[in-house]
Amino acid sequence: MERMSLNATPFSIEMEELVIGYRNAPPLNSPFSGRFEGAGIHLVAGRNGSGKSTLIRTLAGLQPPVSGSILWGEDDLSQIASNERGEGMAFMASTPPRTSGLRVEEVLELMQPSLEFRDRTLQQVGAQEWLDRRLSSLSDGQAQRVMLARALLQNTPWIALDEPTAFLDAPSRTAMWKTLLQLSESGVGLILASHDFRFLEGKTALSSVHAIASSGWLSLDRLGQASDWESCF
Amino acid sequence: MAIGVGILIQGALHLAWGPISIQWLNALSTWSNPSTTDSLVFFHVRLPRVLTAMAAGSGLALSGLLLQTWFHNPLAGPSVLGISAGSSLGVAVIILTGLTWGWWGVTTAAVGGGMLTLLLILAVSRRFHGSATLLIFGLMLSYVVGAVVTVLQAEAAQDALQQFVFWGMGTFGQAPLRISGLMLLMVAIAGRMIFLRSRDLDAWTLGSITAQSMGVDAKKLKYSVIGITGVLAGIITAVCGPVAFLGLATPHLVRLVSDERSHRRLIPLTILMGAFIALLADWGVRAPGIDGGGWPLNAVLSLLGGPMVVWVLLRKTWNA
Repeated sequence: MERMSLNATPFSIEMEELVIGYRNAPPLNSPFSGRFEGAGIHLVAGRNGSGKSTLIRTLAGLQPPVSGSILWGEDDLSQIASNERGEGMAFMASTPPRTSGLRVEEVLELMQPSLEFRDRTLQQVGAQEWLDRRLSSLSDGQAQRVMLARALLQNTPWIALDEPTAFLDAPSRTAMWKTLLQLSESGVGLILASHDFRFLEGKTALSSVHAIASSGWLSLDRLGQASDWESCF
Repeated sequence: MAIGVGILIQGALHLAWGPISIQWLNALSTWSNPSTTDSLVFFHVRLPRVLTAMAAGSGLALSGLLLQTWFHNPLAGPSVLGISAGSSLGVAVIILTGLTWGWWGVTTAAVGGGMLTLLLILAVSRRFHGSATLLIFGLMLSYVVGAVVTVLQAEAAQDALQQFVFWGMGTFGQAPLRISGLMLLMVAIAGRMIFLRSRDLDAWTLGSITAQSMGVDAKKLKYSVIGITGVLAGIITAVCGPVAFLGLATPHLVRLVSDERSHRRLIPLTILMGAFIALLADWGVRAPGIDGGGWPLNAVLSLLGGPMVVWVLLRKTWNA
C-alpha cells in the first residue's frame, strides 16, 4: 500500500471530533479536535480518570475510538494494518510486564536490531548490565528502562508513553526524564501522558502541552507555572 | 535432548513389555501380513497405544502452553478452563442420545464443543481481573456441563451409558493405528503452525497492549490459539476421553527443568515433555493392570496433577 514515510520525521497526528472510551461504558469526553506535530515532547495532562491513558492508547491505534477519527499524516489510523502501525508509533505502558520470563536479551531481540543499535540504545537508557537477567527478576524501574529500550529499538518516528514515571522512585524518575529529554532532541516525537511533569518546566524540548479538562481539550505552547496550569483542570 | 531419549526408551519399553510376550523380529517381519499373534499385538495394541499417548500428551501440553501464554495465566489449561468439559458434552450428546456412533461424528462433536467453550471464555475473559477469576469460571463451566451430562446419562440406554462411562475414565488404548498416526500428524502440523508465531507469542508475554504496539495482529494470534487448542483438545478428548491435568502441568514441568522461556524453545520442549509425561503416566495405567483392568488414566493423572496445581499456586512467580 502507498503510505507516507512512516520512518522519517514525525508525521502529523490529527484528532477529528474524537470521543474516547470503552464499549458498554459512558464515553470519557465530549468530541474534541486537536493536533500533534513535529519532534519533541508533547505532554498530555489531566486529572485521574480524565482519560489520559485511554487517549494515549487510542492515538497509538491500540484501541478504537468511540467515535470520530485519528489521522496519521494523510491516513485514517483505523485503516492502517497492524504491522504498519508498529512502524509508525511505539508504545510504552505505565507498568512493566510482570509475568514474562524472557531474558532482557530476548526481549530486545524481538525487535531484531543490529548489535550496534542495540548496544547504543541500552547505553542510552542505562540498561547495558542486564542483558542476561530475566525481565521478571528486575525491579519496576529497571524493567521500565528495558521496556523503553525496546520501544526505541522499534525505530519509529513517534513513541507514545503512558505515565512513564508512575511506578518509579525519585532517582529513577529523574533518570527517565533525562533520557526522554535526550531522546526528544534526537528528532523523535514523544506523546506522553503524565502527572509528574514539573521536571519539564522551562525545557525547550517541550513542544506542546495539552490537557483533557472538564471543559474540553486545552492546548498551550508552553508549560506555564505549574500552579496556573493545574487550576485549568 | 534428554527428554527425547526418555521418550525413545519409554516407547521401546512400552512396545516390548506387556501381558503377552512377543518376538519383535517376528512382529516386524510380518508387517505385510499381520495375522500372527506377535504382529497383531504389536501393530494393533501396543504401537497405537504408544503413538496415541505421545500425540495426546504433546497436543494437550501444547494447548496448555498456548492458553497460559494467551491468558497470561499460569493456571490455564484445556481441562481447567472447561474446554475438555465442552468436548465431553459434545461426545455425550452423540453417544448418549444414540445419534451416530461413527468416529467422525464423535470427533466433530468434541471439537465443536471444545471450540464453543473456548469462544465463550474468550468473550467473557475481557471482564476478568486476576488469574483466579478465569479459573473459577472454568470450574463453574465444568460443573454446569457436568450437570447436563449427568442428565443425559440418566436418560440414556444401558449400553450407551456403559460406553460413555468407560470413555470418561480416559485411556490411550482405544484408538486404531491409523487414528493414532493421524493424531500425531495433527499435533506435528499444529506445532509447526504455532512455532511460526513464536515471536508474536513472546511479544504477547510483554502484555497484550504492548504486543499490539509492536505490530502483533491480536486477532490473528487469537484465532491461531483458539483453532489449535480447540481442534487438538477436541480430537484428543474424543479419542482418549477427558484427560486431566496434562495440559496444565506439562508447561510448568518444562519451566522447572529448563531455563528457556522463548516460545521458539518452549514449543518443541513442551511437545516433547508432553509425550514423555503421557508415556510415563501410562505405566501407572498399565502396570497395575497386568491381570486385567488397570487404573483409570484420569485417576493416575489427577494424583500427579493435583499437587502440581497447588505447587504452582504456592510459588510467587511462575516464570522466574
